[in-house]
Amino acid sequence: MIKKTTDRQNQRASDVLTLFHVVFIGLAIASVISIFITQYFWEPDPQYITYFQPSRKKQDINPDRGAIIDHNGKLLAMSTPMYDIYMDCYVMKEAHDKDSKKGKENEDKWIAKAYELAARLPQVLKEEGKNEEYYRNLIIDGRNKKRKYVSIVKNIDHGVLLQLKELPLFNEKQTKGGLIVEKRETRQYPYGDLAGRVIGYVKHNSDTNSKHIGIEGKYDYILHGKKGAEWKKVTDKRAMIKDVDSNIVAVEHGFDIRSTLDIDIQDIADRALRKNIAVEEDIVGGCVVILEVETGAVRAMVNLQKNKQGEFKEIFNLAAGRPAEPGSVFKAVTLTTLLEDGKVKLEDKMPTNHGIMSDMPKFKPDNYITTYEQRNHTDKISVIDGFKISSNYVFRRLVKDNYGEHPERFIDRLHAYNFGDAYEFDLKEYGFGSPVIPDPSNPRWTIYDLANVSIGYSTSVTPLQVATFYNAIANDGKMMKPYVVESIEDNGKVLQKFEPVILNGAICSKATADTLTRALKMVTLEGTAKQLKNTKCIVAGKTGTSRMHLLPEERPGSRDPYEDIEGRKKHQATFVGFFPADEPQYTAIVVVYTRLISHNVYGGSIPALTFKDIADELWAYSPEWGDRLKSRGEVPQMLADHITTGNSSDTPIPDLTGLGLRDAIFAIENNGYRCRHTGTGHVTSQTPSAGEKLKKGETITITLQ
Amino acid sequence: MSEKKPRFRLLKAIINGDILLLLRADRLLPYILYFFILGWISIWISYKSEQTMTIVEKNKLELESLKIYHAQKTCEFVGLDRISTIEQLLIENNSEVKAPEKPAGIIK
Repeated sequence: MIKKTTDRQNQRASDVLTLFHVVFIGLAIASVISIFITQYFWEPDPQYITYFQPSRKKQDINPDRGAIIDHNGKLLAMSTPMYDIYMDCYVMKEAHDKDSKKGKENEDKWIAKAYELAARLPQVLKEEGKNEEYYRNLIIDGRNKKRKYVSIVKNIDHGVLLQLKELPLFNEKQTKGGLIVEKRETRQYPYGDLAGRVIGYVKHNSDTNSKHIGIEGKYDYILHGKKGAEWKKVTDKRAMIKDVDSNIVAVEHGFDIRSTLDIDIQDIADRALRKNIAVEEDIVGGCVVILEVETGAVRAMVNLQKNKQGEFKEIFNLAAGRPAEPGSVFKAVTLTTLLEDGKVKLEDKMPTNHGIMSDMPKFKPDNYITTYEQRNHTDKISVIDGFKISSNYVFRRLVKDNYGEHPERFIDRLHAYNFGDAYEFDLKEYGFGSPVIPDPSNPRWTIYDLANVSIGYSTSVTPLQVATFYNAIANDGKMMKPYVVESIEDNGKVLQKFEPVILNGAICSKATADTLTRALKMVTLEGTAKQLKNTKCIVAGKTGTSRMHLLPEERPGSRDPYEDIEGRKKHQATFVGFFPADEPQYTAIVVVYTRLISHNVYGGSIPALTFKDIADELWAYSPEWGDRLKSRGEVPQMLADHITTGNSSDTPIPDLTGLGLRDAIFAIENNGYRCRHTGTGHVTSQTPSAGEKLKKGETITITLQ
Repeated sequence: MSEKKPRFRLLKAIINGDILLLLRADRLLPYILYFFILGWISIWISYKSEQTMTIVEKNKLELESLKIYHAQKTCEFVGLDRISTIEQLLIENNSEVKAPEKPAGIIK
């Protein structure tokens, strides 16, 4: 009996458990089906959708691209945001339509504000052809046509954005006023195109174009920085704040690059080149490089080429990337080699032979020699005179006679001067050509190659390489590697400094460098670069003019690689030198390129004049070349006690005697008069004299001695 | 019977509302109050820190805005700092000031 009762109780418990089991299984299946339907088929009501979204969201933080600054800390490139402005013209319209009580009234208010906005937009945006009516139609049409993304203006800066946010509707929340602001990081270049091929160009930091050039391209990995991320959460008052409990990936902003460029020197060089090439319409391009003698730092690098519109723009880095036959500027290289090897002295004389190399009949007679013979009534010419008049005959003869048996000795020297190789340069550019020095072991080598190399033909080097060589001469034989990046910095703190690099500790002895400097000075004083004679500081340098190789399509029907069938040629005219010659501080090269022309453009013309402009202006702007004045001496006493300042109409003319120019101008202009002055020193006389009265704005003339 | 009595008392105490007295929770009152105050402070601090963070975020936006404004003005002024631009402006304003023709003298 007891057992039966127990069995029944157990059976009942089992049934209850089975029931629970079935119910739970059923609920589980229903849950799975519910999840599936929710995931794939169910859509919440749009007005509640925000409540289904997580209250935390991840926000990427884009790094700020580092700035590029010049040697003196002036900004060359920096990133700032620009804004595109759109408007949701349909904002609040549906709400107004639904509200039967105040909807009409609110809609009228919104329209009135829109009219006021349209009236004030032209004053803020100042866009040509867009007046009040234009903006009014744009907004009202957009509202009628339910447009929620109407473009108002693009590419405005932060200042204009702040003004826009003061306007009616735009000073309200986006959900009421409809203002939509889209921010874009943009790269700004305050100096525009200046040094464009050195600095480079990027649109913005997210611009992943791998073809960026210049410093921007080469040092993108430094400038770019690394993206960060943080989580944001919504507070009870619907404000977004940083969620400090979540993981944060710290953003790493890009570092700054300090360039060796001096933007003032760059401006001077750019302006000088533009001024001088503008007068000759046959010039299609030109470049200038200015190096600091001691370090090889590039202080300026101008690269101008004429575009299709006839404007000179920075299109390609001609200075570092366009090797060509340098012409007579290479004679300094030849002369250095001859001097260093003890083959010649500047005063050594040789027969002129009417400029004819009888053992090398392919060369035409040197006209410069025949002119020299006639002018000097002589049949001998010294090495220095040959250098001054840039005689091809003299240099071919010297090299043939001294290295004809062992041309490799001469060519090896050129390699020691780093002419044979393209050295690593800290700029990114595309289409850089490679320099070429002929090889005497080549089966096609002839003695003519040696003679041609001596005058800057049959070889190919860049203007930067030529400047580097001349810089070594200015630097007593020490050849420095040109460089354009000085340091990597983080808000002024130097992280990495790039020290000057020596390419060759001594390409020649100091004595040879001094001798060559003397020869180069003679070129500017008495030779082919006489235009530089009146430069404000003494220049040592050399001119060079070479014909350029033409592409086959540029000379159809012509076998001569240098001229077309009509005898027209392209020229590369160069002047390279350093200044002040006795204590060189800068080395500069100016190269200009012509289109196909039938006349010649010489290195002694446009390039030398450009060089002169640069040297004069640089000299005037550099206080280190100013006169040293003794601090002791008798200086007239300058007491300003008797100067009455003020702007009243009856102020008498002050006594200016004994004042310096600056103080005198201050006193005059502070009394409302204008100043005219002559002489330098201190004021010795003035017209009208002190105590008299003049009408405001009239002129007082002072004489300084 | 003796086993059911405590359960019955417990049920009765819950219904009567004196369960805490039955359990002698009055001895733990200081601790309960302490934990209550801790909880309240925690919530209050959390609320205040949210308020502070909101202000921080607003200030951050304001600073960002000023930084951008400063950067754009810097960019604008740097462009004016160019020698060519200065000389052009001097000419346009009929100024007598010109570029130097010789380097400045230095008093030793």
